[in-house]
Formats: sequence, structure tokens, C-alpha cells
Amino acid sequence: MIRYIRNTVLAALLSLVSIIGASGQEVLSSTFSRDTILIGDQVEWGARVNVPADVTIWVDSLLNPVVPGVELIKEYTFDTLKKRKNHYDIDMKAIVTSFDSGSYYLPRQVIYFYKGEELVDTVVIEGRNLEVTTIPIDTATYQMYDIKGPYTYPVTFKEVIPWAGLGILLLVIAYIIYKAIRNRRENRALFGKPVVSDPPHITALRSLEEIRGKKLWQNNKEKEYYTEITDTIREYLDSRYGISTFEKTTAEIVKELEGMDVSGSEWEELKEMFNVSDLVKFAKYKASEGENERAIPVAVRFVNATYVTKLEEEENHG
Amino acid sequence: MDTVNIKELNERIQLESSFVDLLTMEMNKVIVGQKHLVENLLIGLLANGHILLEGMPGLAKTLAINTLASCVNAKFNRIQFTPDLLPADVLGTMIYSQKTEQFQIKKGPIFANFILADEINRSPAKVQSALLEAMQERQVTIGDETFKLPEPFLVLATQNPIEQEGTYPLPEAQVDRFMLKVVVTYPKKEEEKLIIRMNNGGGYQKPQPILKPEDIARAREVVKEVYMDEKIERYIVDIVYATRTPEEYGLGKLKDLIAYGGSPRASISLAMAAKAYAFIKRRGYVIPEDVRAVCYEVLRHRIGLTYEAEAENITTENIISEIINAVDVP
Repeated sequence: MIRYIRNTVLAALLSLVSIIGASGQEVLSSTFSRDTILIGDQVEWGARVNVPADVTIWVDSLLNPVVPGVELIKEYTFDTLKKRKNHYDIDMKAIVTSFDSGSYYLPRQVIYFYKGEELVDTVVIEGRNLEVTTIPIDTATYQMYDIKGPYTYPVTFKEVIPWAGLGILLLVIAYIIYKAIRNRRENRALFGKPVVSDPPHITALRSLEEIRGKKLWQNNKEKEYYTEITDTIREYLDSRYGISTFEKTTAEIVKELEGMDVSGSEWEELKEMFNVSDLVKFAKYKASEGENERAIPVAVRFVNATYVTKLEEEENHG
Repeated sequence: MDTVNIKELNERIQLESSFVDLLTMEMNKVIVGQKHLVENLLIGLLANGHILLEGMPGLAKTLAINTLASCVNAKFNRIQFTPDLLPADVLGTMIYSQKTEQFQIKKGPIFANFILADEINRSPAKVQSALLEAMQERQVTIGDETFKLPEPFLVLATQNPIEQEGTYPLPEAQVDRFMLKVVVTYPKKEEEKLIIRMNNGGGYQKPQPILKPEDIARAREVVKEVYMDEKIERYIVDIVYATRTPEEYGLGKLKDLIAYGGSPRASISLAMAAKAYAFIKRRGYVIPEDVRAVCYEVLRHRIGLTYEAEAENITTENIISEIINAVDVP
């Protein structure tokens, strides 16, 4: 019986100690950057908590409005200030504001300390009054002002860069198009340096010299030999007289050139060479060695003779 | 082809083609002017191709072929195509003989060396088909029997470019069977004066037969031997290809004007006609001029024009000229 009484008393004492412990919960006073603000002003509201190193803290999210009339602008942010032995000082701040004047009581907040999953302690941040005042209006000197327009901020370099880049790009594209059109009109390469073409007689003479160097007829390639010579002469006539010879037959070329008063012994020789060439190309004609040897000199003589005529014409006109 | 002896061939052609001048001379006794028509009749005759003639009435189309038939000493028949003509009227039919109590074959007017199918577009398609089939096959079947048509066999069909009401235009597939389409134009003033004089002076001279059908057959064999270089073949192919894909030859502007271009038959005809032309010019080889000389006649009926071309009054001749002036000559 005695033992029973002793146990009951011990249990009651322990309960009493725990109740006392609970009621002895640590209470911190909350901080304000200002405790009186004008309507619309923002104020930091929070507290500084000393937290053991092995503990994590938990705070309930603030309601918005915090209390009727006080709006939450920014939730709590936590900032570790310094470490002392095994404790940290943690600064926690929320930003609030109010758009109505008056006195508001911001409620107390509870911070829970957890060690792992276990709740080991709680800290209470006490509630506090926030005074919100209006802007005083001097009714004696009261004056109406118009609504101010939006501010025109100065344009920054960063804002200008994309537009300047686009402008430069458009200018470059326009220049390339202009250049391409001009080069095309002048029959020059699209890009790069302008191609300086040789005069027609130089091109023709150079080409005839190359044909001579290939020794085509000596290697039984008479057809290629005459084709290349006549093609060179056709190209020369094309450039020199402006007649499209590649789409014309020999007879048509001869007729057209005679209509342009091309004559002389060189021209007669060339006509003969053209005839031999047609026979070789289309009739499997085997030209004699003499005919083959004469073909290039005849072509060269014609080019030189017509070039000299051109110079004389230019001198007469000039 | 490489083994051809051109010198020998040239000499042979000089010899074989000697009749051309005689024939032309004989025809010119009767036909005043129309050199182009006479030349193309010879090309058709030598290249074994039929000819479609287009021209106004009274331009000596019938007279020309009649004269040619007289010169060759060959049989000539004229068939006037009318809307009520039947295939049997052209090809022939089987007639029941009460005397022999048997069916007898009655050959139609197509059994002749030279046929003038006058105003071919006045008959319905079935008659046109019968004629064109005979032209192609060179044989006719009547009842159970098949008869070869005589050689040489040359059909000249005429079309009148005016009075298109009540006509049956030849379908493109059938027009393609004519090797040449020759447009006959009016004679020159001087020529027409001569025509009046000849008519008023008691008629034309009678042409003398200077050739036998066998001579024509032999000449045709020689024409086939006329040498055509690979460059010329390529030139022909380029021209025909340019009618199909003009944009590949720098003629993009023709693309929307051509509905369809020449068929491979056009290439064959162009080559054969060029050979015949070279033969007439007494040459044993073909040069680009020969191809160009026959180009219009071979291609003008083988190029289809779009509505856009017709609306702009562009003719196939315009198209051919553009092509000839754009394709490189070898």
C-alpha cells in the first residue's frame, strides 16, 4: 500500500515538472525595422533566434494578409549571422506593408526546433503592434496637381546593341546585293576581286598556241584538233563582232561576216579552213599534213589581221 | 560506221543522186515556183516518209504530186475525204459476185504509189485511222487476205487551214506519223505572172517519166547509207530535247508555251530527212545545215502549244526558231 502511494506521488511530481517545463518556453521579442510607417511603406518584421548547431528549425508560413489590413510582401528569409560554440544566430525577416492607417497587432509566431524527426524545443516570437499613419495634408496650402506621366528612362547601351547590330546587318546585306547585281551586269565574278579579262585577240592567240602545243593531229586526233580551232575562232568572232557564232552553222557565220564587210586574203583562207574543218568533223575527211599544218597559222593570221583592222578603225574614230 | 569509206560513198551518191536535178527540172516544167514544196516532196520520197500539206486551195498541191507520180512513172490516186467516206472506200472491200457466186476482193484507191488524201480532216476518225494505219504498216487486210502496198508508197495528205467547221482534226498521235508537215505558201508575183501565162498559153507541158519505182527504191537504200557523224546525232537529239525541256537549253521562257515536245519518232524523222536533204544536195554526209533545213517541216506538227502560247499568237515555227538559235551547232 505504502509502495503504491509513493509511486503515485512520484508520477504526479513528474507531471508537474513537465508542465512547469512547458510553460517555461523561451519567448523572443520580434523586431521591426520601424514600428511606425506611412501608408504603403514596407517594413521588415522578424526576430533573431539562437539555434543549437545540431537542430533544424521550422516556422509556419505566414498568412496573407498577416492580419486584416497588413499585407505580406515577402515571406521569411533566413540569414545565419554568426556561430558561437555550438550555436548559430539566425536572423529571420519578412516584409509587410499596409494600405490603411491604424494600429495593427501582428500575431505571435512559433519556431519549432527539430533534432532529426524529433521535436525538441519550441520558441515563441511575441506579437507586436505596427502603427500605420497617413500622409499629413496641409489643408491651408492644399493644391491640386495633375497626375504625373510615366518616367522616361534614358536608353542604355545594352538596349541599343541589338538594334545597332540589326541595322549593320541590313546594311551589309544591301551592299552585297548591290555588289552582286553590279558584278552580274558587268559579267564579273560575283565575289572577290573584279576579273580583268584579256582582249579577245589575246585570248584567241593564247588558245591557238595551246592547241598547237597539244599536238592533236599528230596523234590522230584531227577531229578534236579542228573542233578546238573552230571553237576558238567562233569565240573570237563572238567577242570581236558581237555575233553569236556557237548557234550558227559555218555557212551562216560566213554570210553574216561578209555582211559586215569582212574580207581579204586572211578571210578567204579562214573560209577554206572552215570548210576543211566541216569535212573533218562531219565527213570523216582525212586532211592532208599540209592542211593540218596550215590550220593554226591561218587562224592566227585572221586574228592578227582583224585586230589590226580594229586598231585602225579606232584610230580613225579617235 | 567507222569502216565507211566516205570518198567512195560520196562518189556513189554523186552518181545515184544525178536524177535529182533531172526530176526537179521535169517538175519545174509544170510547177511554177513552190521550190520548197518540190524539195520536200523529194525528201519524203527519198526518206520513205509521208507528208502532210497545209495550204490554201489552188496552190498546186494536187498538181505537184500528180507531176511527181508522172515523173516516176508510178501510179497516182487521189482520195477526196468527205464526212460520209468509209474505211472500205479507201482500203477496199469484198464484193459478192453473182456470176461466180463468190466474194471477190475489190482493192481501194490506196493501192497506188502516190496517194493524195485531199482534205484529210473532213472525214471522221475511223477513216483517218484506216489510212494512217495503212501508212504505218504499209499493208492492208481485206477479209482474210493481207496485201502489201506497192513501193514506193507515199501519202500526201492535205489540210485546209481555213474553214474549220465540220472538220475532224487529226489527233496528235496520228499527226506524228507524218514525217513532214509542209506549209504551202502563195507564189511570188513573178511566179504568178508565169502561171497565168502558162495557163493562157495552152496548158502545161507534159512531164516525162524519167524514173522507175525501182530507181526510187535503190535511191532510198543509198540515202540510208549517207554518213551521219556522232556530232550531228547529238545535235539532233539536242534540238528534240529542247522541245521537251527548253529550260535545260536556256530557254526557260518556252517552258510555259510548250504543252508537249517531239517524240523519239521526231528524232528518227529528223535524222532521215537530214540524210535525204544531204542526198538531194549530192553529199555523202550530213552537215548541221541539213538538219536545220528540214527542222521546221519535221517538228512543226510535233510540238504542242499551250493555251498561253495560242493566246499570245505564238506558233510552233516561233518555238522552233528560238530552239535553233539557242542550241549549239557542232
